[in-house]
Amino acid sequence: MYDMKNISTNEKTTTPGNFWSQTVSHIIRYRWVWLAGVVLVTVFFGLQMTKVRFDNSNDIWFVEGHEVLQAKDRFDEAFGNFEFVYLMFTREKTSFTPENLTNLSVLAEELLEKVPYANKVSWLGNAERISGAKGAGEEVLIEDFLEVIPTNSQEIEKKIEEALAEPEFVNNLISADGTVLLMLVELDAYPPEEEDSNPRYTVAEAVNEVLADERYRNFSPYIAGGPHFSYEYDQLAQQQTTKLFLLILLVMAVLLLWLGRGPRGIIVPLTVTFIAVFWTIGSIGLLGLTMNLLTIALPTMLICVGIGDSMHGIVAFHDYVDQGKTRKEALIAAFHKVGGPIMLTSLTTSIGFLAYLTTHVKPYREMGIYVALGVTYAFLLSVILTPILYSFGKEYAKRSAKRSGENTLGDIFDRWLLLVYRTVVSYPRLIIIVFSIILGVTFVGYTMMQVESNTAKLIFKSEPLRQTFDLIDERLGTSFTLEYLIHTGEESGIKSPEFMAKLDTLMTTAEDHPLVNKAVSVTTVLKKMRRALNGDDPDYYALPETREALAQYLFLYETSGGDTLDKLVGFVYDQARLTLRTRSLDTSEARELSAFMQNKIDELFADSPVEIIESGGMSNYIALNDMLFEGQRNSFIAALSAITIVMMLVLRSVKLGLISMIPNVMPVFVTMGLMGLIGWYLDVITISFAAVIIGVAVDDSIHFFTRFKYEFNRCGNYEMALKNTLTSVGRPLTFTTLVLIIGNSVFLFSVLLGFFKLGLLFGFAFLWALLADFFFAPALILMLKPLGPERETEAALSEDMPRTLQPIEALND
Amino acid sequence: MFIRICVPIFIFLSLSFNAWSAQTGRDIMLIVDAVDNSKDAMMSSTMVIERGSQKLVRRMEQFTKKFGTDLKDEKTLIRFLEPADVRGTSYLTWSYDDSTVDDDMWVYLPAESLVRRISGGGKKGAFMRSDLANEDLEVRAVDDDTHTLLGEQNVHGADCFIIESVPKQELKKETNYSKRILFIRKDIYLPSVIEYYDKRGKLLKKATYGGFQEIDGIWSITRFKFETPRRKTQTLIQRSDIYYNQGLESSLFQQSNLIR
Repeated sequence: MYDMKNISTNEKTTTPGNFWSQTVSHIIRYRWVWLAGVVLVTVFFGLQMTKVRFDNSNDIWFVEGHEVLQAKDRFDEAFGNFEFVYLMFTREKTSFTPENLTNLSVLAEELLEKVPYANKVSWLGNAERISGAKGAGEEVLIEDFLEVIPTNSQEIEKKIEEALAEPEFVNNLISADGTVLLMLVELDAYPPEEEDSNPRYTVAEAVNEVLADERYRNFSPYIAGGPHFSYEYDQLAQQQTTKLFLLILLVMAVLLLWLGRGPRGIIVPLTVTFIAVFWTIGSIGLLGLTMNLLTIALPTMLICVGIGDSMHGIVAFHDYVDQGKTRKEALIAAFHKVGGPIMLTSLTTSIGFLAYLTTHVKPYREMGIYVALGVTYAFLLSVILTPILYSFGKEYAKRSAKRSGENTLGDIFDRWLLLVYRTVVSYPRLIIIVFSIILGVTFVGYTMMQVESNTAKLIFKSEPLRQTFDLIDERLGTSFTLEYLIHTGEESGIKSPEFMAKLDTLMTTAEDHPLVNKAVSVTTVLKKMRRALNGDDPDYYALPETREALAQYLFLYETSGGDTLDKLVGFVYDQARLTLRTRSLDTSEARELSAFMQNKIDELFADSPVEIIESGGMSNYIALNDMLFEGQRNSFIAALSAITIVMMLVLRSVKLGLISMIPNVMPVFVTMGLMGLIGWYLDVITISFAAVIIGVAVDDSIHFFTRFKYEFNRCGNYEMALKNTLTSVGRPLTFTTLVLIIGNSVFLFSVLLGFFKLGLLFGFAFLWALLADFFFAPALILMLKPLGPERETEAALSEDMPRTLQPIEALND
Repeated sequence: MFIRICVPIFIFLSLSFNAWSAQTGRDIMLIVDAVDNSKDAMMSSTMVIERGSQKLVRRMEQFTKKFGTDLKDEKTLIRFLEPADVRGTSYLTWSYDDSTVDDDMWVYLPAESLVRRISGGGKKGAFMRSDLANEDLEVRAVDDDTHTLLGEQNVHGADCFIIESVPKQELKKETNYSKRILFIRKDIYLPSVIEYYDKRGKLLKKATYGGFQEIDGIWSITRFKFETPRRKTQTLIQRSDIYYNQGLESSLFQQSNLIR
């Protein structure tokens, strides 16, 4: 690891003896071999990239074996898990004219003929309506709702009125306000992968192709359901990844242009991080892992945290060139100096991300691995490629003309650092009090922080995906589902009148709950059948009273082709299902509804030996919320503990190690605490925040504290050590913070609200990390004197330190 | 009596004719349609519907009587015996050869002592959660489809005609299938295998027939199996106690007699 003692002895020579100088010397000597190695590895990972799959299922959040997935498996086993496509035709886009309705009827047939795996297409036109005729005929009529398409608008309006009176149609085939008509394409189970590698795409593309026909072109329906969601999400994700990636490259290029010298200063860091991203994605394919919604941020994040390594090497190289070293000597000396620190900062960053492994949120665990891998690759590639790419050229590289003016202390950064120094030395107590108050208040805020896991609302309103979601949410109010599987444990168990009565009570109670817009169970079917068989007499809208009668109504329904029965009761009548639909709810509402249902279930089924399983989107959503909350706490604690230990080891001081962690937790508390205080929710993306901040902010602390300790050991005076530290690493620290803030700000261009917020919050957090490093930590050091009493004698020595050393120290950041 | 004599002669002639000259798909289907030349029939059936390890068992007795011109129309009474809780539930169907005339159907629910006429209703739906759709159970008039003889093939040891039956345009909306491929045994003019293709022309279901027996001079199927490979489900049907021409009373097929 980074040995501080070597710095003073080695800084004027390039004597080998340090692992890094030997390595870099070897790399330069055999540069073509190393280069070929990098190319080979890159080709290898390039081939692996083709195996990378994008996981867009709704279950990406849960690790295997999670009870949410187990509950879902139970449901799928009992009632099947078939996808569907929902086409939604709004009155404003597709007016309900006889011509359009006729075309819809043709469309339904055409979809069935042309969309692979489609097994049923239903809409108002072909929906079955069961009605009972009174009188002598005692007839039960089962017919298509629109046996013939009405020929004028009055008739159409009349039919719509009729449809709105059929509870089974409302919010299923027509919205309650009569402004949206729906067409449901039900799909078979998809075939094995070798037959169709991406059936969702097959379906989405087939549907789009049918809709492109002239007859339907003006309909422009909103399309929901697995296939289109997946198709559009993938496109959005790809487009976002590309956009953010290009933006970050651009931003970094501009920043490097400002800092660096010549085109090589831009090309090398970007090449290094670009290849690191490439290797990382290849590794994802190699490990058989998947990309998901969160991985959109991967390239951007990797460039932000990985670009520093090569930049440090390059800055150091130029410093040594300016001192008159040859190209090769300068490179060896540079990596001799920065090899240790960049390895250490890569290590702490990796730890920060690996802390996600303590969570149970699958995408975070994967993201943790990906970024840790990427940071490691960026570090390795920096050490290999920077010396190689800089080794080409004249023996003496061009020196900087600006360096001569180094001592003039004129620019804005120098004035800023001087201001910092003076403030800290003059008001250490005040600084401690102010920062402590901020820390205390925001810590309280942190404990008040709430989590919101509704992923659909993460997308900005301008996106079609979000518009479809909003349409379902606002006009149908059925975007969330809460499902119950009630298992009696015996064949034909649900044919008991007592059981059915309880199920019906549970359903009607749920229906009366203000949050529930639709409740569906087999009891509705039974009541409807009974009413129809009794001349539509409303008095008969009740459950059959005996076991035989129940069995016979169910039997009648099943013989008459009621295949919906499979979705309502188990195959051998051992279990029944209750589905509730609501508009999108926030977490507290969802919890309230779930608790309400649980109470009612306990009350109704307390004495019967039934097993009840809760599932559905809302149930997942509540579980995800708990998991995210727990996950962010665990990853924060894990990152905090691991990095504290690393800091104590590096600084070889428990006290200084602990103080060094304050600037690392400060940005977490300030940012998240502020969110807690003003009532902002953490969403699935911003929840990832705490561990990353610690992992990244700690880089600054490492540079600051190792330098501070080194300076104190030399001069033995706290104020003097602080001054030397600020004037040496203060400048590059300010600069890297700027790079991080500006780099992350590209997230402000994301259409995903979570990433947008992330861009803002990261900037805010990194600013606070720097403020804490510059003000709070030094003030604490001045007051607590963690490195023991001051030594007068050596202070003078430090005063005489030549200023020419400053550029060399800059390498250390 | 005329029909009892004439139909076998017709079949015989057709068979002989076949030896010399090419038959069309429709010709073959006309013979198939005429194999069961009984005036009435009664039988017991057991249906086992399998989904994975789960099974549903239904037992029923069935009575059929033909009437109308050329005995082309049919009245069928199905009475369920198992499961016990639906015992006595009955369906009475009057079906007509003329495809423009809808079938009549009545149902009897013993627990409610109630008989109702059922009009309309999807033919495309599954029959009792089995692999059979309601339309698979109906007698299909020969001219509801266009039949094409595709060739010949040996199936399960018997020589068969391969016939493709495509529903007529006006009936397309009422069926799940774009076509059926029938493998008709050349010796007894009964299907050995029928493949059902969905609206996109992909194989949806396969029916395999067996246990061919000559009962009262009529070749009959006593076992068959419907499989839906996509859903990994199958339905087995076993027929027993088959009797033809027992002189079933017409009153048995009156809705007023459903309540007994």
